[in-house]
Amino acid sequence: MLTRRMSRVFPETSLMPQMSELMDAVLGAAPGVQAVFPPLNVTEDEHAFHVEAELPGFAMQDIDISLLNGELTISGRKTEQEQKDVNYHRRERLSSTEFKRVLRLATPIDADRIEASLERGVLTVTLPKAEEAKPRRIQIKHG
Amino acid sequence: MNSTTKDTCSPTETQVERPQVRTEVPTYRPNVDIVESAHDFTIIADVPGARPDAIDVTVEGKVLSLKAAIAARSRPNSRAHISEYGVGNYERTFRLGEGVDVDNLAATLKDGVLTLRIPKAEPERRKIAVKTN
Repeated sequence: MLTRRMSRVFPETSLMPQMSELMDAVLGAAPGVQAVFPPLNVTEDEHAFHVEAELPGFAMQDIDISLLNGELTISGRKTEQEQKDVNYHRRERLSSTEFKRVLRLATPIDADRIEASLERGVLTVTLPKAEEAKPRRIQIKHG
Repeated sequence: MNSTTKDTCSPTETQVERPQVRTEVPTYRPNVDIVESAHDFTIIADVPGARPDAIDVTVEGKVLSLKAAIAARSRPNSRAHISEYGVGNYERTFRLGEGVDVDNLAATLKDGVLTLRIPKAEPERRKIAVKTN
């Protein structure tokens, strides 16, 4: 299992306005910018795999989900309008981004029943296992 | 930014059942943009998963604090294959500069993004009466 925790761990502090432009340049590489986007959480239960991703600012039409040959692809594109005549004091969020993540699923999936929802910036994809992949209880007959 | 990564999930061998017990909810610092225009300062914070009624914005003196409580999204009887981010509360504080009008702070939440707009205070204009003799 891969465990990573980014940026947001640091508590507290940071100041506002009136900062120099030099600071802005330094903050361009703030720790909040992740190399892998979006971070995923994947869990499995008896019936399905659940893939979750934090995609704040994305709408459903910005996101594309597909399953082909046992590979789940989640891709998206977002372009935020660059504001004119403004001064950025902090810039930690991804303003314009294009991403693509691919997950290989070794278990057969019932593709017709895949469900995806995007709520409050959290994407959830539920991938039900195909019937043949579900655990089966074997009855033991007494002779 | 454009990143392509490939992960393998669903291991071929059996994993140890990992009960997802959360003893305490962690707190994370949300990523923000702070934008200044001629008329206002805007703090844009990524708070995915936050419900509007769980967000708490307070100003005390010159300190603005932003808190968002997130309900744990645990799945019973499941095991984790990939855990790249933690789910927890958001908290961050900002020191406000002079000349902001916090009484007219406006907050909006959309798609997991919180926007706080703080107008700049109008400079006090004092009218000097000119007396004529």
